[in-house]
Amino acid sequence: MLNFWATWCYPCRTEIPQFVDAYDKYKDDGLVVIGLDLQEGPSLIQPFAQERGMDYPILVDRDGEVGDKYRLLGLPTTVFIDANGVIQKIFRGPLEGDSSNGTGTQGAISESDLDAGIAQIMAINTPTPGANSGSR
Amino acid sequence: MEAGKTIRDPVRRSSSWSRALNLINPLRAVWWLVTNVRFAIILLVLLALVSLAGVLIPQVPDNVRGDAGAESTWLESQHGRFGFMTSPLHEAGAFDVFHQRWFGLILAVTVVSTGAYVVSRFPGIWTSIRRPRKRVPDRYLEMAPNRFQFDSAIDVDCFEALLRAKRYKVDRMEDAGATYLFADRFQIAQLGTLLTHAAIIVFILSAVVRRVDAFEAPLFLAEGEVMPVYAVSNPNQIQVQLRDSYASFNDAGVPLDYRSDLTIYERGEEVLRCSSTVNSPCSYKGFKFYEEAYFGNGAGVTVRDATTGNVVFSENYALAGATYSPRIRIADESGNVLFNEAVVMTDTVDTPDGAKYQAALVTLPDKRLLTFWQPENATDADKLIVFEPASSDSSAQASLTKGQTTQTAGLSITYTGVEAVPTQLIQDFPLPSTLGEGASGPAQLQMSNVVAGTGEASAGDYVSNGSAPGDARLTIVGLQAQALSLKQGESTTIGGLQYTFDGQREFAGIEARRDRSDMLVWIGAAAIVLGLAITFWVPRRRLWAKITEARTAMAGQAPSHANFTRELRNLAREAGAAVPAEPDDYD
Repeated sequence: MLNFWATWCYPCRTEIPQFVDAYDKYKDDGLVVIGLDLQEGPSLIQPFAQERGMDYPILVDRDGEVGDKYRLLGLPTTVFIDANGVIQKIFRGPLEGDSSNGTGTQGAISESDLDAGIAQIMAINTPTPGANSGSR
Repeated sequence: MEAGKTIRDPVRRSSSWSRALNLINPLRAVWWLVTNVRFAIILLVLLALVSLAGVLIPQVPDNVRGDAGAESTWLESQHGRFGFMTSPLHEAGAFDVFHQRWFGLILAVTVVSTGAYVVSRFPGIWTSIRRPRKRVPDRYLEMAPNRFQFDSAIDVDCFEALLRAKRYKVDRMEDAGATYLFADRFQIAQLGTLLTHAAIIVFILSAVVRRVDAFEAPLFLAEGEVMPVYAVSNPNQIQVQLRDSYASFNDAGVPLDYRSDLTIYERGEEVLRCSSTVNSPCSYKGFKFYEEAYFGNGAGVTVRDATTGNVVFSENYALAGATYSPRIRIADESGNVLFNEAVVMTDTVDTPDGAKYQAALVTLPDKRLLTFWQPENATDADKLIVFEPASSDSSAQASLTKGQTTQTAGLSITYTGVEAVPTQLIQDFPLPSTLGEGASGPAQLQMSNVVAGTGEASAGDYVSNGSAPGDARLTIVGLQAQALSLKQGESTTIGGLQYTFDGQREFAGIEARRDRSDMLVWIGAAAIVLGLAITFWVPRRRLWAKITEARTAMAGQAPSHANFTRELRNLAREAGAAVPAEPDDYD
């Protein structure tokens, strides 16, 4: 799961706890989450990531070249890539969330969408929307 | 002397047949048109008129242009002013003159015309400067507009010496019993007019550069926040961080000056630290960062997962609204001040008799709890009711109006006045799970003890300027049944989330602007001033003279604003010739 983000991006900030949770939950099943920061530096990224418990790898797209390759239109954008390297889904956020569990207003990407995307790339059963909302 | 009569320069003379031939050839016809002075004047007048229209007629704002709905609404707003002419004017592009293709076309043709004029005139002028014609036909001496003759011989040596003294370069030739003089001064000044024309081109180019290349991005930043200049990835991306924002006010609360301390990042590295004001922006790589706005009523809130300690939410909120709250001062019997703040009303109470009250709880340092009640929409005449919930003889109980002090249960309570408390309803505030209303929802934030214009707030070190007696306090309504009240730096945990009030945060509106046409404007301005100064103030002159034993004839060229004929007469006088006075000698 490749998440384009930046410290200044409000919807990115709001959805990061969901990626932290998802990574904790599925990393043993093989889920790889990569946070790809857009054109910022370590002095801004490190304290931000540390405070939010972003344990997954964070890379920096220093010149915006990676963003260009993925035809990035804005932040946040999340790309779901399966084990064969095939892009299964691209969320260009912020998306309409799932109001049933409250993430519709707080998160850029709904938990159900996130779970569906993860299931698609990992070929695991999708938990029902909101079923894991208590994990946060 | 003959009356002045214009003679045509043989070099520039063109016969009618060649002109007709030129017009047949399309390229020559175009060249003739763009180098034609009258055509250039028509273009400049046209440009001036449409520019004037663009200044006098309201133009579509930048943030509306391109948005069909917003443009339509804006046009509707112009109907009251332009009536039935609104639509025709819109169709003609009068509401967006400087972005019309026809305006660009006029500019382009003006550049081409002016450029062609410069190019076509330069070789002739350069030849005239470097290789001037040193002898002219006698007919020219007799008919030139600036000429002077008299029937005696001037002292050639004396005349030549006089000309050299007046900074002329003089050539002297003898032929067939006559002496010919050619004198030249400051001829390089002929280039002044070309410089002025070149300046027009530079000005127009600067407008084109500005239109194509200029970039503006408004950034509204809270202290500590970072924003990129470009909203999406860009090879020239840079980030701006507001380290601190300052404002100074006079006694009446009128802002005197704003200043922001900024840090600029490029490619992830800090590249500049600077201070920016309205008139003295920070500059980096062609960008200028202007301070355009200041807003002091911001509140920094951080929410953490109480289990993991991870930040799940951290924002600075601009509290744009205001509620009016009573400021209360409470002291004990020894005179120690226990409380001196605005009491933010957080609850509403309906009494059995149908009256509505706003209410608030205040906890004193010794944990005594006081309740304040005030009628809804209270006026100055309304009393503020204070009581301790525990009902006993020793409980505090009082009612007081604004300005009044009362003693009760060992407390001295003063209702000092009414204070505006910044407030804002936040729609997506993180909510505790115990509330059962989802992960986020509405919450009312109110911040008392605000001090405008503080320094170092971003570091969490609140600096009071003396007008507020204590640290800022944030009251949050909507997280639980009772309002949450946090002092600066204080935290509390509700339903698995730890809420921290980071402190007051000031905001600054920073305009990031890049306009590389600036330099062209300066170059154009310098060129036009220099060109005009050279043209009007450098006294360039060219003089031919033929001196025989019986006659002296002189003629010359000078800018049209000079009276060179009179100068020739005066030169002759100074060289010793007996020249009668003329009516214009003393003009």
